[in-house]
Amino acid sequence: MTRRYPIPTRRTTPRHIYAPPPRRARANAAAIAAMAWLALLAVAALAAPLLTPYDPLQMSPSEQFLPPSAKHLLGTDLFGRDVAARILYGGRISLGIGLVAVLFAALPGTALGLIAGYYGRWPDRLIGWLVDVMLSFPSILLAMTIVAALGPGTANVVVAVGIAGIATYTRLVRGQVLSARRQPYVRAAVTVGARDLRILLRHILPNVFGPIVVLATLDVGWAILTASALSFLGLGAQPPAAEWGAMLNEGRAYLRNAPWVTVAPGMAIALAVLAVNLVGDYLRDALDPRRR
Amino acid sequence: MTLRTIGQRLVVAITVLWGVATLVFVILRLLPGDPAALMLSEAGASAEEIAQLRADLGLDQPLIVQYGQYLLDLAHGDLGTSLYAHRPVVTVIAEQLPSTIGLALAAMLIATVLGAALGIVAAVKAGTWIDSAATTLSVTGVSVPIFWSGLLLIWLFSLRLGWLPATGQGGLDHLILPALALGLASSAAIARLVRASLLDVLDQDFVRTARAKGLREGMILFRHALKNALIPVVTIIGLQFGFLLGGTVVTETVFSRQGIGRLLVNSILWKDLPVVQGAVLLAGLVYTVVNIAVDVAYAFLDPRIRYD
Repeated sequence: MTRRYPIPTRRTTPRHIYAPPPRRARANAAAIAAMAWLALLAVAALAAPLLTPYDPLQMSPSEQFLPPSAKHLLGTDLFGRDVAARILYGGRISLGIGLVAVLFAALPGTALGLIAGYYGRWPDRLIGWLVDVMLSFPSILLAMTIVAALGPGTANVVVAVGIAGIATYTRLVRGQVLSARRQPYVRAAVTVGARDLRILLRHILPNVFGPIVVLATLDVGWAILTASALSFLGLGAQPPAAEWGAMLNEGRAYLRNAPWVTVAPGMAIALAVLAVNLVGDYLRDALDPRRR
Repeated sequence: MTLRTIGQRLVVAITVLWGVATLVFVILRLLPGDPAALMLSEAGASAEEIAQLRADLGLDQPLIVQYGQYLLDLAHGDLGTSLYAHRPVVTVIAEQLPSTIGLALAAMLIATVLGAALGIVAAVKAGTWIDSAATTLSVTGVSVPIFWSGLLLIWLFSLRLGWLPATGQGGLDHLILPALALGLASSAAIARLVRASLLDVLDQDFVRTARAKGLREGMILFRHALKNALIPVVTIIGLQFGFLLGGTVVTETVFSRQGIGRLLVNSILWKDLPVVQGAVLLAGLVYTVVNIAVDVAYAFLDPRIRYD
């Protein structure tokens, strides 16, 4: 899926990452609620064994397609497995894929952006062309091509979604570095003879970190959506894994008689992504001086 | 924009297209895993059969020879033969294309009309509860997976109300639900941009002048502000086209429709790599061409923009 949000804009003045948040970046109620929801989701996924007595993979044919009740809060699926337990345990996979895939995108993407922006000339032209090429595909199609080569599976989806996300970071970081390079603190570091690696990692990176964090936050939502779409298509997490997208795929054939099997995982994905997007929007507004 | 700049853009686009073709080649040939073994893995083929397929596909040649042959074939419009359908990939893709184009255009129409309406209402009523509601609606829109909204639409309009067919191919009634599922997701992004852009324009001097001379608000909005506010929206519609193209993959699967997206998913599952390669190349080509078209359209719509 192509990203559906604007990329964070360039900061005009450098501010250290450890500086206090901008004064007027007032806490936004929706963002706080979203953060609380995400924390709750993470805790619930990690503490799943304490929260549900059911095993997400344990089949119980006699309890097939039971509607939601006190015993099974979100009902049961085709194999009599407890849907609530599968949602809780599935959070580990679905949220985990989102977080790790973003790391897979952000780390190489940032490194390439630093190199392109700092060295200019042919490395910049080469990397710029590569970015253009990678952005010439809708990102879900790029991820699907990579899955086609690697084969379906959870780990391969993480790699595929990660690679598909690299170019956006490179483009963002390159622009940031281009403007940071002209700042006096960088020229001072060059003058005192600091090595390139030190200038890039100790001086420039901390100052371009804000927009990267914003993009990474919004990207977690994109990665969860893309990875769950791949699982829904049968290219990601494979049955019987309790991954939210895969659960939706399993449930859709029984939409008429057992809609709860489809509604619950879809709701889980939508609420998780919504919360991530709200937090990302908040961070973007807070870190961008022009939006205050 | 002069013909010369359009020409320059085309040259850049051709190098990007060459890059797209190369990237697809690199992904499908260089990533770990033997394509021939992968393609025949389901069939439980013997080592000899795998070697035979490798020879048929030219995979036993040195990479550079394979790459040269691949580019030569592409230049001749030859995308190879489908391993599953045993027909030229070009034919297989051409059969599926009209359905996908129809879906993408219908979704684009819904996204643009709905997104613009929502964005305009939010901007005109900025700061009120209507604005908050519209903004919340659009954040929610970008967060809901298409495959879920699609299933909910099927559940409501087909299974519960029985108004529209749930799946399959056919007339306009078969197109409404898939186009709605795909268009809704896209309209949210367009609404956000229309709102921001219109708010910017409503704050400008010429709008103030129009108000000062006593024009009615409706006149100001539709005759003066909107014309200017919709220019940046053209860009996002171009970007959204890429999203729609990717979205057709999921939508076609949810609604069991024919199309390039479903063909791609099935080809990946059946390990029909020549078709995967062809479908992805086509998507890259279409996306690149649409982006150039958007650039050109942008320059025509806003004479202040000069690329040269």
